Amino acid sequence: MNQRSLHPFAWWAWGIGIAVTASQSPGTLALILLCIGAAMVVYSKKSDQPWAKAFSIGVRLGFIAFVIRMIIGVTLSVPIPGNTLFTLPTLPLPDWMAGIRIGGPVTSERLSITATEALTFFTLILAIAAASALANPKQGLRALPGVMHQAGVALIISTTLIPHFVTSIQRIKQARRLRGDQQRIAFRKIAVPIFEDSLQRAINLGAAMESRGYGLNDSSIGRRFGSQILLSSIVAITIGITLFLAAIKGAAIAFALGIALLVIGLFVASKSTIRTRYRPQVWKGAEWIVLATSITLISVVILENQSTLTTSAIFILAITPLFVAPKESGLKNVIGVAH
Amino acid sequence: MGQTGSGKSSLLKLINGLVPHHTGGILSGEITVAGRSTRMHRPRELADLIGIVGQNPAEGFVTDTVEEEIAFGMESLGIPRDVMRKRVEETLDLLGLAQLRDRSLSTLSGGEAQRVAIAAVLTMHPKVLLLDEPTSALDPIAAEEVLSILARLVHDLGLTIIIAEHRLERVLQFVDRIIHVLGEENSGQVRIGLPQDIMAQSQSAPPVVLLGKDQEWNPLPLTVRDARRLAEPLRDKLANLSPPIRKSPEIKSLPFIFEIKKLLVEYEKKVAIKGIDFEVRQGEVVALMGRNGAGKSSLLGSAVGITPIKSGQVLLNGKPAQELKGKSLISLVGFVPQEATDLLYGESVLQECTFADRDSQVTPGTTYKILNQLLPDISEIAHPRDLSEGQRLCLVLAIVLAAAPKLLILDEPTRGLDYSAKLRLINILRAMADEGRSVILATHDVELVAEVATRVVFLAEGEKIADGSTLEILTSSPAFAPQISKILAPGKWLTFSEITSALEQN
Repeated sequence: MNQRSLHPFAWWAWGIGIAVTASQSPGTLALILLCIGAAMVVYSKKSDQPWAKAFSIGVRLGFIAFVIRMIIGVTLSVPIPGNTLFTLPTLPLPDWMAGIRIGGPVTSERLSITATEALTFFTLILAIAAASALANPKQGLRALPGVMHQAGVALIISTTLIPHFVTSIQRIKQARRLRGDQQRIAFRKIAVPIFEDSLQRAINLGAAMESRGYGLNDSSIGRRFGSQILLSSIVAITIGITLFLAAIKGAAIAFALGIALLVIGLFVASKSTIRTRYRPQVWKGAEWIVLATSITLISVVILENQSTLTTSAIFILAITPLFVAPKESGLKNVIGVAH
Repeated sequence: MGQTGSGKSSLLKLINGLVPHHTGGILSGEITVAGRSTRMHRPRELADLIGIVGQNPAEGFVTDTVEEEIAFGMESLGIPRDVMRKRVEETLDLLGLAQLRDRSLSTLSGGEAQRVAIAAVLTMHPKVLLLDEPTSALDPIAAEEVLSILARLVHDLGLTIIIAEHRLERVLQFVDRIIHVLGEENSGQVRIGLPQDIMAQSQSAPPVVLLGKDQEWNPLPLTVRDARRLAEPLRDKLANLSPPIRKSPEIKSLPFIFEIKKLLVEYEKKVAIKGIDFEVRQGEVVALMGRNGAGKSSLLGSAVGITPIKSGQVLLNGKPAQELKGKSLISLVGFVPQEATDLLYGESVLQECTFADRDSQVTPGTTYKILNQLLPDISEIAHPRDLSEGQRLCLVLAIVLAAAPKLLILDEPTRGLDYSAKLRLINILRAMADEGRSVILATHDVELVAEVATRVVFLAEGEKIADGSTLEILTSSPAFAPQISKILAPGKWLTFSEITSALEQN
């Protein structure tokens, strides 16, 4: 990694900042600006690594969500009085469902409210897609605190196993051709060797990891204790997020508790593990700026009402990475040929 | 050293405790490494003392880039970050991997992967390095490179290296002592001694030792250099004899069995084969040589239609290979891939034979009969994966030969074969050629080529760079010359058997 790229967690902080802002109904213009800002940042900073495709997938997914939300919003809802644009045929519903109707008059108010809500959805999806397109997932996994390291390694191994699986299947298909096997249904002949292959590979990998010291001192009591504290911190944070989104009081307390537990848990766990990290992703000025703008973005939208000033502030804050973040490093690997 | 399946790999795994901690089994006796018993310590607790590199290093890779892989072991040991940085840089330089540091592990060639695997254990600063057939998949030059690095490590760092190897001709010059694992028939005993003593007693030995024994040279030469000094009288004696002519010239008039015209093969971004013309006549044994990744496997694959062809023609007996399938394909061409196991999907030897009889549409039992000729003492209920490398190759050969193909293709057949298994293979191939069938083999094993090939074709970067008689091609290149020809140069001798038969006739 000679070229510098922004810490993946900073990208996630940025993406989450945009998502939270969008969820706080900052106004249609602000939503549109957020989408444009996210797209600008993604297109100027993304690499040519496979995960960079996440953004275009996110745009498509967001668009589908937008359309579905519009259809539902227009056809099925509580009547909103106002300027009627056109009237859809009404579907009669039983008495106990009074208050909801399908079809009926479509007012411009309803259309605009639905559009804003759908746009919120769109922006949320876009924000997450933007973060996953920019953050290098493998470095992200490596940056996980020591306690979660094993989960990270397992995930990295499993991502490298998929191509092996594909070659396994190819090899067996080739073998059948080479042996002139023309039987149609041969589930057993394909499935059994694939399982044998994978098992053999797993055993070999296990032996290699074992003999390279993997898992040395992994079973200390401090570590297990630390993991339990971390688990409870995750629960507390999840409760906090739920309360916050549902606008119920107590969110701040749950959040604070969660973060306190997180810090304690990480401290306890890292004290008791001897694993060290080679060339960790650095967290420097650019990362701090991105994190700070993300926090400011969230506070602006929570504290301030809709105004031209906040809208422009939101836009500027959202595109800050454009100025501070380095371009994500691209593919350096020569595509190899199996021979 | 030792025969296939004699327990060389097990011995290595015993030293670092993978046997019995990882594999299970009953261990009696005691093994201590630098005072630590493998009985009391798991392999991970010995990782700072012993590094092991398996037969297929790519299967042991945990991360996805070279640099991370090299650091992985140190991370587990909890080595401070600045020390890690320093060691990674040192090791990258030591093994000449600095260029490759950012490369994805899946794009490495065999030799590179081997070096990365060695680097990955060296950073833990082990006192002992265990290597299981480190050069079996490598071309002679890449093998030379890996072995000379190992020799340097021994000299510079005082490392102890234990290496399991079949191709003694490659490693004999570096070793101080030999552990000869005698295998099952000798109840798993080992003989430990100086290379000269072990070689003097051993049946299987590289050509240079065989020649030395035959000529009763004293001391027994182990390297080409030693032998050349002693070979003066033999060179004089052979000067007025001529080596036997390989494969009579009337072969020229026989029809082509396999033809390639302007073949072009491309994978995603790389051209694997650049417009090659190539043909094989009936009764020829053609050896395909060249570096790892030169396009040998792609070329062979095109003969059976498993290589996607961009342009050009591949004809088997005048018919396009791509269009043939089933019985009509296998009665023309038999293909033994690099990993012979790939062809096996049955659950016992007998089941494999039954499948083969059905696919080749021959009378039931044919395959088993062929197998019995190749390998008289094979258990029919054994699972193909439990067979030794040599036994597996014989099983695959039997399956392929059941359809009586006119052309036999072997991709790297001697990988993991000991001298006696190799000799058996040589006899099979010679018999096939005598019956008028053709053989194409891609191999790095120059000694095998010297024994059986009538013609050698050299590939480099997807192009054919040389095509000629075995004698002419092998003696013209120092890296690819067999030991005998190095000893007796400028005399044009290739194999030990040529010399003995010439001397006998005289």
